[in-house]
Amino acid sequence: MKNYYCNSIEEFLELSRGHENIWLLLVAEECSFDFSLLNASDTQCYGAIFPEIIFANKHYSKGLIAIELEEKPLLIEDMNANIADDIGLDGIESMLVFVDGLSTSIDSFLFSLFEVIDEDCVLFGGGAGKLTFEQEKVIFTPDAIYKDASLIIPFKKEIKVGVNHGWEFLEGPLVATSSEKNILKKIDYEDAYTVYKRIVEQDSGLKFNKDNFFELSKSYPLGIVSIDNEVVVRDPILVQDNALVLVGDMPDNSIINILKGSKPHLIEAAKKAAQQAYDTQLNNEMVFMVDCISRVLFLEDSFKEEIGSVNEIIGNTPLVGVLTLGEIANNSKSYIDFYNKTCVVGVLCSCNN
Amino acid sequence: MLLQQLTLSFECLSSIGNSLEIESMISEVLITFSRKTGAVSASYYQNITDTLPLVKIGKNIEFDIKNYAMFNEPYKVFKEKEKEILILLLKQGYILLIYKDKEESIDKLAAILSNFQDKINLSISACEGVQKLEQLNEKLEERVEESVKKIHENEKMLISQAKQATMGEMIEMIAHQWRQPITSIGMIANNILFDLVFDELDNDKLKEEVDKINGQVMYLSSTIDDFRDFFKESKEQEEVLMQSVLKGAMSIVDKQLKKHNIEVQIIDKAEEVHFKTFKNELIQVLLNILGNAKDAFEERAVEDRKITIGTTVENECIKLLISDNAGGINSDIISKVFDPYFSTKKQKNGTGLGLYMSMVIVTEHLHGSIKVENIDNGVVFTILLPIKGVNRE
Repeated sequence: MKNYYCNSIEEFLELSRGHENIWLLLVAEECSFDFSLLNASDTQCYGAIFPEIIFANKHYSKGLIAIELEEKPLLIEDMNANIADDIGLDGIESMLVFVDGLSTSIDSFLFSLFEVIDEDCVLFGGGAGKLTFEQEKVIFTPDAIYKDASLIIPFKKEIKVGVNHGWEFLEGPLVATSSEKNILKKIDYEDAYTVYKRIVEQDSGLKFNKDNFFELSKSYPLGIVSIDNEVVVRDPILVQDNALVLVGDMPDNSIINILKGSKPHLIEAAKKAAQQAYDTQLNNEMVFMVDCISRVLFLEDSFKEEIGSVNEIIGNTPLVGVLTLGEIANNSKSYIDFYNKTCVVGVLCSCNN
Repeated sequence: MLLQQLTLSFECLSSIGNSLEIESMISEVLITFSRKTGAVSASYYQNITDTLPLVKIGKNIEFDIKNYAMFNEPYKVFKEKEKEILILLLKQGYILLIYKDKEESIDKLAAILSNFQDKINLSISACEGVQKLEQLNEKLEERVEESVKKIHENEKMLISQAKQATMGEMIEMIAHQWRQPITSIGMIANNILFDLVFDELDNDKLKEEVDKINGQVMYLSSTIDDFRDFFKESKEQEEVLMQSVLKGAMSIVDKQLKKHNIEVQIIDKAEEVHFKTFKNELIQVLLNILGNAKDAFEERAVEDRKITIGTTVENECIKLLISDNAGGINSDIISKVFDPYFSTKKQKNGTGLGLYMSMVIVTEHLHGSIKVENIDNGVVFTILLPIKGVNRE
């Protein structure tokens, strides 16, 4: 699958002129993106806007990545509606899924998606959106640009997926005693922000004020504990009436921990995700990295080491990726989880035999 | 590991019994059980023999309980190729959880989940109980609705009976009111005839006599309009002046009261106040009260017969006072005068419905109040009516 980095939409349109391909465009937030240009052209472009994109060994806040697709993507225009059985997902065994990362319907959408995909389907993906945390139209097809939508990109190739985050236990267990969708209202029967603030301020030695919430919270995510000792990370991004607004749902009465990170552990986690996904025995064609934007904000300049740790495992296999608002990975052995602050590596491969 | 087990127990336990609607309650249980334990499909079958689940979430995996040996233990785990199937037996039905490619055995999970069977059974019973109660309530509501309908029908019948009774009295009143003008018309006709016989009828005289006849005919016509308007059903409230209500009532009953030497004094302090009401129904109330006063005067042969009608405005209401000096009502029975079929005039064909209907009209149709009290040598009826009117259902 051919892929290109372009500085602008105009550069991409020049590149694609005369081709009749179906394109997947991964657009960085700061790229001057004029949808009307795509809409007016003859190119068949599907895609989404993300805070940043990854190409080879770098991450970019500008420009876009264009990938030639073999299959036409499928748009789910309203994530809130149940997905019909006959939508055309039958027989698809691997797919990339992008959702509106600031939609309040992500959990129910993934639940509904799990019910209609094939029993052996493997998928990964993430949440599109911008770092302003204001919900905008970020998913597009040749016809229009949407919000609260999802884009499903089917592959004929096999996909291997690796997931890891590297965040470590700080405080817990705590109980999410009141929550509704992605709003965590109470922890241990107290206002969620009060509890969170107390723990984070004590550990960091810093104080929250009305302007620095995400600056501090990006280093202290929440983790939902599960029976197999895996932790699903939830990123608090805003405070609203003493409740924490998360990227992704928090079920009522979830047992949670407050987590903290260290740069070496996060970088090591990305490497582990790549190791899980990359099988040297297979014909690996392309590696797709879906990494949370808040890891970039946490790791800052060290984020290139995280990309480097993945490249270390995959060698010369082409690497593309997106920095997202929430990550998705599933191998059909359990429900589709929506992660935060996590590194997902998807390897598109075909068997050597 | 202990924390994970406690976490699973707490989260699963917290998901049970959060709704009294069975499908919603079970859905939450199945979603939590399957998500927390990694099942790819979860279903609830209401009865052990059911082959179709009442609630199902997750992957659509075909399952037929008949293929599995029945068992008496609280739960059972079956292995089938890459899948593991957990059946949790409930009091009547069962929960089915299907796991795929699970790295560890689900026996431990099954043991944890089986601890919740009693609570699930209790919650299902509670849901079923509520469902039964709702059905009973529905039936009860139907019965209440039916009874209310019957009461309304009875009430309608009573109004009709009362109107018929009033109509009898009306015919007498009409007859009385028409007697004089008809006599006058007859006399004028005779005068014309005499003048014609004696050749004294000129055009001017004829015109004068015909004008007199027309005057009487117009009087007859207006009388019949008053009676006809009264018998029209008031479907809509109208904005009226109290003086027009009193005038309407008096135009019907005035002659008869005069015939019985009853003097009526009206002190209408609310005459300029517009208020919304069902005019004819209010007139009927006045006619009932005035008719009763007339009967009392006759029965007790009172000499100096007086009725006073007063109106004032009080707290957004029109206050209407109708008093007489007919001797009052015996204190033993005064509390019963608004009861249906209660009458002191049995020998005089009293229906016992007049004051009952007056009370129904004032309280239920006009949303006001009515009471009766004895005063010096008589009674006073006090009626309060909202100026803004009422919404009739």
